[in-house]
Amino acid sequence: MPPVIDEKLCNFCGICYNVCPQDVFSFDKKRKQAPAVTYPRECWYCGACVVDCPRGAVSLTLPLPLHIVPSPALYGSPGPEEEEALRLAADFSRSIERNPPESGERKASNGCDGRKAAGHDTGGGNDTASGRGGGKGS
Amino acid sequence: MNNIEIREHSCDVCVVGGGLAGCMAAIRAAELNDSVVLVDKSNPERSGCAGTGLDHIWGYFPEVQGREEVSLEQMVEDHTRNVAQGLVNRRMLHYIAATSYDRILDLERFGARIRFEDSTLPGKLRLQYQMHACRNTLHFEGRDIKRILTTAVRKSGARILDRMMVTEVLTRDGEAVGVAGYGTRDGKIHRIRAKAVIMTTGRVNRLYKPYPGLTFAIRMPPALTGDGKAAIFRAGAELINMEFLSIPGRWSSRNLIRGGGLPTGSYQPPGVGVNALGEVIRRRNHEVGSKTVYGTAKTFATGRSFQGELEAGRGPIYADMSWGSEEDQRYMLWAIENEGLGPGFLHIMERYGLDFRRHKIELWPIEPEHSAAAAGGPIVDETCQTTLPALYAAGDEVGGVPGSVAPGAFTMGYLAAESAAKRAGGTGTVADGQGEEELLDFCNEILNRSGGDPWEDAQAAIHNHMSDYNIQNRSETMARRGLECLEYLKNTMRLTAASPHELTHCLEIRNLIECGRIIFRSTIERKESRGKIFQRKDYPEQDDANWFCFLGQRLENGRVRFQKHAP
Repeated sequence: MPPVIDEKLCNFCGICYNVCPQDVFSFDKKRKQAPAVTYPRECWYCGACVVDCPRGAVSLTLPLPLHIVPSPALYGSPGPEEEEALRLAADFSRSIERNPPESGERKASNGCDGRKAAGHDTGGGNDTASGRGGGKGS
Repeated sequence: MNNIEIREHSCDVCVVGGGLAGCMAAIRAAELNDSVVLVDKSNPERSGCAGTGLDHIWGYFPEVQGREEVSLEQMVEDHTRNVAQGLVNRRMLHYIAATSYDRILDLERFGARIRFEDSTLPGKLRLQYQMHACRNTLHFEGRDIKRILTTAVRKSGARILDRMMVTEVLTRDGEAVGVAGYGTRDGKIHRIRAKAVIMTTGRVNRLYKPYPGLTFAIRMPPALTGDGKAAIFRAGAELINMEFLSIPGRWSSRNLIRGGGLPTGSYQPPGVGVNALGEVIRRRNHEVGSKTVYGTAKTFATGRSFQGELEAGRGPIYADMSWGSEEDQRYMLWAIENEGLGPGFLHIMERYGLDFRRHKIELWPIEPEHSAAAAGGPIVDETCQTTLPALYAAGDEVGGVPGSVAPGAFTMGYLAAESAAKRAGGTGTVADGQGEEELLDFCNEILNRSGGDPWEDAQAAIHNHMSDYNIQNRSETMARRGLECLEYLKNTMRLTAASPHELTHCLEIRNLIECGRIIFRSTIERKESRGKIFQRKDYPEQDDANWFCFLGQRLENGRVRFQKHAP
């Protein structure tokens, strides 16, 4: 049950015990023993103990209801259209603009549609406001 | 008979909750006051919603939005209409939007990396869409943001009291004069006298049956049990929006990953949302930009929804993140690792032989949450003060600012600290107050009992009552029955605890029941339906004439009072 401490790697520093937001461990610094996992079913799988352990001694084990049953991905040739979409998405994620807009170039009504900034033309298409309770009384 | 040792503490400003809001509040308060205490139920290094990461913060970045001709006022208007459906503390929202960038620069000063060489935007920022119509969300390296903030708290001179669960606000002559709580490891009652108190304990989680079937397998931290909201209510301050609910919360995989809202955020650039036939239902991040500032937010351009695909017999839904170059995959792993729960998720993927090139990840709608969309909590004025003088609140604790999330935590934390510091500066001595009697009685009763009900059983009963009476088919009769069931539970349970750890859980049960009762009472009172966040079968229509308002609930001499407030 989660988490599991490799006692051969543990240096008894107690960091996992100190940081765990769920307080699942018990630890006595004087005893030179790895922390015990006293409340395994209260683990949140946040990974704090895993990333903060200086020795890489902690790993998480999933109880059966939390297993992710493998399902094959669709990976394959993306095709020309998908390839273009991926390229734009990659640029967008990193905030790389191939053709940065000049200040004042864009119309205010077209607000902050970022597609143009990503080198991708857009019709703009403003919808009329509708939203429930839209703006009333605010 | 009292069997518990009581420890006394004293300070100028006491901040309760060491999440993003609490850390920022403690740092700012310590710049302005001599004596600041930050109390956390666990340890601020990894506690709260951002415990193992935060990879995005929205804000107004004038160099970028200004160039795209989106003004601060337009962004606030967009948030008001499309995120908050008009019902929002507009003044506080404006403050959050206007100062989020300043707090981000504080984070950089504390040591967080926010600039990236590949970005061509001014300041080398990475900005993406999140919930607004403009590209205003900083994508940054926040896996260790809580460790960075905790170091800054220590440097500021604020004292950290960890593993302490605050359950009561101490009052005297109608003003807050401190807090009382329970040491989750030392088993002592702690009274902290203070000239001003800031509550930042966040959301109420653990009210509804978790989708994966295990009590602690929820998307947001299970340690957050509405401790602040319950304490604020018991002290007589007014809570609003407690009847609102996010249904369905989000889409996640066994609640092991946070960012179920494909395609924005952490799954980019490769991620798309697909149905069982492999058809793309949600497209990639850059294609979200079909929203316009004053228009209706369209769902990710395909016109189809995950829920619609399930209902059409084309489920289940998957996140497919298999495409893209090696560099794209690396970027995505970087993003996931920096978002809350991400480090745990990546570790689990590796340990169970799963990888994004070969496996798509199944997504399901998770249980409802009293989350950012609902924004239930104390009503605050422009200084973040609640209706109880000297009691302030910040972040997800606060009611009335839907979608304030991380920027709300940083900015309101800062503002509440300035207000509390000012108040503390004008207060001569630290007064002694009352309010811990109920806590003492509750703990002593449990400690003096041998045998009884384990807290887990009470937790399961709460899950039953909240899920049965407050998700589907909500109505006055259902809410009244829910209230009856929670009151029966409160009066009938005979909780037992073998350790401070278990007694802490019993105190959480007390707060969850308190919050559940507040929720049912406000549900009965608000006689309308309002968007996705509040659906009643007996009042299916929205009634703006009577209910375009915050519904306040407070205790006055032991009686519950309701009050409407214009937003």
